[in-house]
Amino acid sequence: MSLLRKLDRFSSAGPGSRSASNSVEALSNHGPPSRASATSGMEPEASTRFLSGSDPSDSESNHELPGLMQETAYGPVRVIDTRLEPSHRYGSVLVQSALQVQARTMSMLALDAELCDLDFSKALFLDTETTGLSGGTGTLPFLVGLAWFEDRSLRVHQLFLDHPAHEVSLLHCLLEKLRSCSCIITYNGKSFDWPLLRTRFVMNRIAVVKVPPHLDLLHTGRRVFKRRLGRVRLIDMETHVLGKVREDDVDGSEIPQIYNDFLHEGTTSPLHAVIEHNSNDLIAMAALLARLADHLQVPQWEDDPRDHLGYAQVAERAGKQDTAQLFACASAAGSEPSCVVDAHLLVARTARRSGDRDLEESSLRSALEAGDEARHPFVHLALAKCYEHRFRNYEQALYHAAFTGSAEGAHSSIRRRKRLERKIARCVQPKAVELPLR
Amino acid sequence: MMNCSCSWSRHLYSALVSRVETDAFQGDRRRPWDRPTGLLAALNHFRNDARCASQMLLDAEVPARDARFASMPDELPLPIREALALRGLKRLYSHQVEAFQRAISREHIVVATPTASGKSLCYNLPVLTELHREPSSRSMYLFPTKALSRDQESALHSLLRECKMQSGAITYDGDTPPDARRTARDRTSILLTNPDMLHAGILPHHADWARFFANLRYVVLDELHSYRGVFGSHLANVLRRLCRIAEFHGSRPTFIFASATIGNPDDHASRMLGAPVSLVAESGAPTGPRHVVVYNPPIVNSELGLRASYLKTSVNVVAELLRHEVPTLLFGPSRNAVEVMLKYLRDRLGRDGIDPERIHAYRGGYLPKTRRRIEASLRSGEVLCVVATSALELGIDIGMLDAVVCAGYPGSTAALFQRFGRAGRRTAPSLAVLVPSSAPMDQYIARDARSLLSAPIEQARIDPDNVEILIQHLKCSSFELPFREGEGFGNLPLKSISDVLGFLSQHGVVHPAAASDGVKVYHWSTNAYPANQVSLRSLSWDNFVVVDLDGDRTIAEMDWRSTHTMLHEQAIYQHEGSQYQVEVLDYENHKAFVRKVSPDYYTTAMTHTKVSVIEADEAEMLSEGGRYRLAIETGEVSIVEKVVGYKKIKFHSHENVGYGEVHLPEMQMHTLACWFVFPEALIEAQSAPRPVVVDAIRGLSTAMHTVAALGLMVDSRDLGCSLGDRQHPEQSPSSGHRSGQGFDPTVFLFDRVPGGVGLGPRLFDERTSLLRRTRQLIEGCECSIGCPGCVGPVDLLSPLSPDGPDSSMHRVDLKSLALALLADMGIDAVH
Repeated sequence: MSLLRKLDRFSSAGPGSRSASNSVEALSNHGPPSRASATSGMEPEASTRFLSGSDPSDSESNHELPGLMQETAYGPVRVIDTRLEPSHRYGSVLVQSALQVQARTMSMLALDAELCDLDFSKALFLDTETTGLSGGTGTLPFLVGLAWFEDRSLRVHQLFLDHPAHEVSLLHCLLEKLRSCSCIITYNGKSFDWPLLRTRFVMNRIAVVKVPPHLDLLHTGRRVFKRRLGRVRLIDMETHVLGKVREDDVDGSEIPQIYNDFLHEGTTSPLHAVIEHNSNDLIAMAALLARLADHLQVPQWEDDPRDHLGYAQVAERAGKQDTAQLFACASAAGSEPSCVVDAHLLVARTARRSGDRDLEESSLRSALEAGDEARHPFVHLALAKCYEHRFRNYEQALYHAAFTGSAEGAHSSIRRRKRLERKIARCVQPKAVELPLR
Repeated sequence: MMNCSCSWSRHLYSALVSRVETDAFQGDRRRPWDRPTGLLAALNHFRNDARCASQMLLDAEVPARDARFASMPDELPLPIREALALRGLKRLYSHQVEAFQRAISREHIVVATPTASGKSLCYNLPVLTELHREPSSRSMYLFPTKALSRDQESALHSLLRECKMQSGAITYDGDTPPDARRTARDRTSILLTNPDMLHAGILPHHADWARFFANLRYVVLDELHSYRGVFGSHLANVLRRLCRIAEFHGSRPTFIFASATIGNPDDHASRMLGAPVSLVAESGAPTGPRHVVVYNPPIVNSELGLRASYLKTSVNVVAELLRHEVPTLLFGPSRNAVEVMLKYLRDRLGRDGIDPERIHAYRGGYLPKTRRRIEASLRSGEVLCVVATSALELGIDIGMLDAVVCAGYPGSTAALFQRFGRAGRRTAPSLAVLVPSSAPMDQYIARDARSLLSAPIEQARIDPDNVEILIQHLKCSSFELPFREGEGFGNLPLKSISDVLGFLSQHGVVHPAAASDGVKVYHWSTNAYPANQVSLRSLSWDNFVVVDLDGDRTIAEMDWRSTHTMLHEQAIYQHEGSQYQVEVLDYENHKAFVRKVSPDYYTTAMTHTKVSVIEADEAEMLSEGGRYRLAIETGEVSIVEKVVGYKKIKFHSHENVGYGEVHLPEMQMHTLACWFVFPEALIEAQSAPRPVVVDAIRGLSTAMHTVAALGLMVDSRDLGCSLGDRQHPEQSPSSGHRSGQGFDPTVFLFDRVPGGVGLGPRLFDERTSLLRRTRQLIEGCECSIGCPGCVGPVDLLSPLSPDGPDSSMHRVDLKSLALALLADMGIDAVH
């Protein structure tokens, strides 16, 4: 039996195939479907599509796509090029203020030393839209959105595949931009966009000699805003950090299907929303970058104490004790119960490192008076250490050591108390510092 | 410990009393510690005991074979020679050298030599030699199970260390942690993995493995015999994809297959690879003399012809071997049987003073840690006896044991010999015992036990071009790399590839477009990840955990299917010789909560299988000019399997002491089938009573099943066969042919793969040829009234016989009856 006859047996090509649902419908509506007719129609249909696919720029169905076909040495690619006014705001943020960003600030926020000496005015924002969300070599980036600053305007430069065959030229255009930028800035690009693009370069046998430094705003933003936002998708950042609500935005999970519909049926209209979505993502990234850097200059009173604590924690990890203390104090001053204890603890840690034992003690005492009692064992632990090592006040230390069980484990807590008791026994004269027992 | 106290007391005893005892009777019972031990002593014990001797239907010796060595090949680098010398290997066996020479000259080979003949060196030596020559080279090892890769990984680590090589070997499967995965991709020289991982985890992400594929020199595929039927056909396509990806990255690896004994190793390997593969089959490894015994359980009720339980008989045989200190492996047919035999052995030998901890069970469902522990204690010799399921058939390294006892015939000669192969050290004698059950197949073999030694070994069959399987893999392959017009896919004809691609593009799965050079390229164009929708094996990885309520710890894991029969509520779950009762089965969260109990019974589940027609796609009346016409149809069926209840079976006596109901969801599978409806008139026209005719139809279905599996090139397990009835007239396949009687016997032959792979429809197309060849098979069989080779084994004491077992009528001649049925339908003898 010939293969073609065997193929007749299938009413569909299995999951992922688009005619599948149609033929099931046919089954229920019109009795036995004509599998033969599906086959007989196959050859001409496939070949017309092939023809229309081979020269898309002339094809009628594509004329309404935005942008222009650009010829490159490697073939054509569609480019959608726009430029924002210097006064353009995204939500509450002036987009061009991203140009003020200091490399050292961002390097600290991203906890990435590689970003330290870069010229952020030459950064390249990058965001891709793909034919699938599960990755793998069969997933294509059909839209690669790029953005960079020219003078005081953000230029949005989107590369679009009218056809998968144009991928080579798209990748070469991208490569050129990668060569001239100082770094790339993405949102979740370290786990999604970049591995995908790297795969595409391999698939098309294009060597990427030098990979530019990469700032992933997802990780940076998460460290600062996670406490307040919970979820940290770009859309959450926009709503709650940038104060922007998108209208008629396309749902990200529908994007692969929209492109596949365009490929197979030539449906172009939903693509406009996808291109718009991608452009908004790029602008949002620039705005988020500006916002992140700007609010680290000095604590702003209208900011949420949880954000202050986020900044403080990043600064502490980056080894910037002064900044950490400043933001932790600002956070502690807020009345947000979920972070006030941690803020005080952080102030105490920075005070300890700078040798300010009075500030360390007072902030720990304030921590005990505030908020979340579940965190108190940690405060007692810090106090026990503070009194033992900084003040050599073993009685006070012993008092606090009684509450550290759940913070350091019962075993360590008992050892701590025994040690303190030994020290007390050894000291004939207790230290002069007297503190009221509560 | 025990040996120590024994020898101490022996010395004491002889010192004190030996002189005054010269006149005392001697014998085993007098001084049990002095009785002879060892395999030959045990064998003689059986031979000399009149009751045992009469049950030994076969007691043959397969002679020893001397080693054939060959000198170390010059191409083998010095560090490897030194490492081998350190292991005491100054020479290699002839087949190892042959395999090495051919592999390094880039010939694809298949090594098919017996168990423990040093097969792994056959592939490790060429791989290490290549690594020595070119440290950046990579190799991939494929094993059918995770356990085997772990086993080989640790063996490779020590070999690499001894060769003073810096290269790494790493197992890459679902359990590999993320950091190790990165290492595996970027640096590891030898990657050990399984076909499923290659299919769904590596190939679809091959760009991340670019360096690996660019330097891929060898692909080693061990346990080739286990890849047959549908699973094997899937794997053949995965290999086509692998070769395509390797070629994209610029390499053409050499394949080394290793297989247990099967009828057609080179043929099978060549079909698997789609390229010629040469055979290395002459083993140079020595084997000691092997005694092969078939020990039939004695008849305990001569009137009914009932035999003693084969499980208990096996336990008796093993107990005797253990009393003679013979390290023994006991194979059981099921997990439950294994646990029951373990309990009996421990109970029995506990009384003889043998530490129960020296007897262990080994089966699927034990936690990996438990399994590793048992394997290690087997190798070290701490454990004297292991009771195992087929889980130990594959090449898990357990050292060698002196005796193997097989409780029940495992269904094929190949499997039986593979189990037998587990016995025997290099030159010492070994013993292999088959204890047949009372099943017709087993008793058929028992009747002609002598021919067991010369029985042909089954062939492994695959059909890589099965359309349904092929399409799935062409989808996966298109996802991995767009097809260019004119590009090949293994040995598939170019025309077929372009047909399938045309079909896929018509369904919008791929999108054709001209590349810059004008060649048509088919791009993947849906958002699906196809490998996730294709499962190479029809079993699911879904599993349940068994939690002990006392202590709240996980003691075992169980696959989804077995959960229904072994972990329903009130079941006695047996584990390492202890009994637990299932108190709660949390079906949704995949957990069974059990508590330790000590009942005097165990439970076995009763399963009911029903085949019903969902929709017939095509139907045809057989028109061969016979008096009666058979209705043949093909279409979609549902196979419903349901555990309806359980029996309580008393330990030791095996009495049935109660029943219980089970309420669990049905296990349902939709698949493709072909079915044959035998009209009532045809049955009435036969001279034999109706039940006998139905039995003959069942016999006919057995023969049809054999012919169908052969013709479809699948494993017989891939094709289900069932005799249905008309209990459910609304779903009856033969509603158009009313007969008055309530029953049109219907033979279903169906794909045993969820969704089906087109076997049923292909049988429908070949219906006439299928029936003709069935007739040929039955006619050509040399047996007189029926045997497993044709209509299936005929029960010597058929309960259908109206005249009782003593009558001469009790041997029902199913064979002629089946032929008569065929003749009535116009399927006449072929001339």
